[in-house]
Amino acid sequence: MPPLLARPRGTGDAVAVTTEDPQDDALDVAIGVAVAGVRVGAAAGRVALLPARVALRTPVLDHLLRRAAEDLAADGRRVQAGARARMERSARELLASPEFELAVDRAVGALLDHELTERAVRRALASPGLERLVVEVLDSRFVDGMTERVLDSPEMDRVVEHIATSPQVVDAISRHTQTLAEEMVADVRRRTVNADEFAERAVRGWLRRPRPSPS
Amino acid sequence: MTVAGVPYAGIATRAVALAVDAVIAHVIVLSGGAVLALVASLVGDTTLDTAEQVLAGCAWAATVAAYFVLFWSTAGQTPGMRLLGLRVVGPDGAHPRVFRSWVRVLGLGLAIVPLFAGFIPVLLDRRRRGLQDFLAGTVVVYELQPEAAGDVQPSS
Repeated sequence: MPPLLARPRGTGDAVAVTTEDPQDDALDVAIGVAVAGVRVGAAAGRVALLPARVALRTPVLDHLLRRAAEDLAADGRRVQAGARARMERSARELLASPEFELAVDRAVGALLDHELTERAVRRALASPGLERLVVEVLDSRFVDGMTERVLDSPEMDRVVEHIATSPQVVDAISRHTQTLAEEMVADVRRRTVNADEFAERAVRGWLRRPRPSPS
Repeated sequence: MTVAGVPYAGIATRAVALAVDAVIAHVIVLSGGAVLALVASLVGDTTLDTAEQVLAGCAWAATVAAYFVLFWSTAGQTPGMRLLGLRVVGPDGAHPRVFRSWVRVLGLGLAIVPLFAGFIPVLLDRRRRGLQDFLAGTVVVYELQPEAAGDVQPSS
């Protein structure tokens, strides 16, 4: 179809383009007739409904109609609320179902295992823009301020206290300390035994007395 | 832990063990003395006359001797010897009894008095015995060598 909407009226070029095809004029006429018919129909409807509108504005009918409308609105609200509750319940049941969890797991797994994801992550990591962005974020005062706030927060104190008093950490520290002490003692023993031999060998050397068999 | 198959402890190891024990024993003595002095300062004068000083010296010697006797006769090793992996054994291969331990601690004192000359035999004796070992009939062995105790010959 020719560009009816794009037809620029009042320009010489447009006239030259649109007046060449007689089928376009016929179509425009048909549309015009249809629009005129609709307008006439609407006007006739308004005229036909005029008595009813006048009647509806009378106090009695107006009151009745208002009550009916309020009842209908209340019904609508009730149905709407019920439908919303049912939808929420259904959504909750759906989210809590193992099938949904399985499906999400599969979807996430498929997404993570997908070659495109891997490629996209690799490209993102290799891009200098991301590196620049990360460096800017790390250098920003925002990170410094956040770090200060986190370090000064009572939650951080609780975390540190929890870690420091956790049995695993205490056990690891005591084990490490014990191992260190054992290593030190073993080292002292080794050195003193060597010193034993050295001293005995030196004295026996001065006295020219060979060491007899220990047994 | 032996060197060239020698199960008997040498002079350096025994000296370090003795030093550790001396520190521990004197910490005990000084702590006890401090407590006594504190109590004495609350009830009266803390100045000691000659007799009391002699008595305090005897108490010091008795405490130190009791320290060694207690550990030798019950465990066969003092804390310092345990740290260095040493053990004192009697002629039967077991740790010395109380009497032998008292004799040994007396010998230890005699070995220390002449500038530790009583330890010189450790460098020359086949079983690395010092004066206290000769007197008490004991030897000191490396604890970490299981066959050491069996290898010990009872002293005559």
